[in-house]
Amino acid sequence: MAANKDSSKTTEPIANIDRLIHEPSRLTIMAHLYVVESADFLFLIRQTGMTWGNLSVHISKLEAAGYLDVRKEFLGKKPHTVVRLTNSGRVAFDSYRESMKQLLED
Amino acid sequence: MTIETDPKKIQRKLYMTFFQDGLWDVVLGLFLLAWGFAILFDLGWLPAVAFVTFFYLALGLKKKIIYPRTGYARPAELRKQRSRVVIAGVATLLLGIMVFLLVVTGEMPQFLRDYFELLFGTMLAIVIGLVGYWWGIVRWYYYAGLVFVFTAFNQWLGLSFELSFVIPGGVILFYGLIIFVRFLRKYPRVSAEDSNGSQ
Repeated sequence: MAANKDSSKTTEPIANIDRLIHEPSRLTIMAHLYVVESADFLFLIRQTGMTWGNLSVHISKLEAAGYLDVRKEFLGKKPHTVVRLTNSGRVAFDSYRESMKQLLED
Repeated sequence: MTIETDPKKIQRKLYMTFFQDGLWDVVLGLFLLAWGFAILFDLGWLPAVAFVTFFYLALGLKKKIIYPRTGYARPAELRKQRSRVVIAGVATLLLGIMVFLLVVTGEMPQFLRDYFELLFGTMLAIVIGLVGYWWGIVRWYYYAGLVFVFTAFNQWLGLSFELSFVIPGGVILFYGLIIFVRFLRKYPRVSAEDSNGSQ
């Protein structure tokens, strides 16, 4: 019983970790968008080193979770995709960092 | 694969990427050359006109040449950065006007008269160093040092005043162009379809 209590204490911070953000590629995307107001697709590709398709898939997942806001606009006649972190995305990233810090310190 | 999640470190990395193209180095080099030619040909208006022209030219080049290669991100702290630059610019302008008035009215103390050129170069070097500090570009410290050294050469070794701007300006322009060419080679232009990920 005591052992069970101990193990639940140990796993609690791990359970708090947002798995959607914890995936390395998505974590990199979130971390880069956290420090800018918005960024376009090409910028994220250059900064994260991800492929077009890979980035697109992860951005769609984060958008579906409400963490990202994706806007398609036109610069002249050229399509231009701009991505920004939503408020809930910002809060989720802050809380992810806090959980990880706690986990590693404990 | 190492994942950096510290916002400060990522922000610093992003600032570095904003200056990796060398365009602002080219602008600085051209600006110093303009100062040199203004002194040489007695064209007081040249530095101000050159600064405005090169500044907007660089912004245009960023839009046409740089962003299609690197992509664009709007920095979150742009307003804060801008206000810092504006404060530095206004302070330098006021200082310049003060010195100008002192020279025009003939009220300049003997000390300022003797060391005017050195003080002017030092002021410029400080501004360049401050820009390097705010934007975290180490090479701008060297540029500041270069400007100061050549102004000191002017004061104590008799190098002409115009050359004390033309030489560092030429060196900075040349180095800026090297960085710019390297950048163009490293980041080829990406087609519009690719840059949008075909989502």
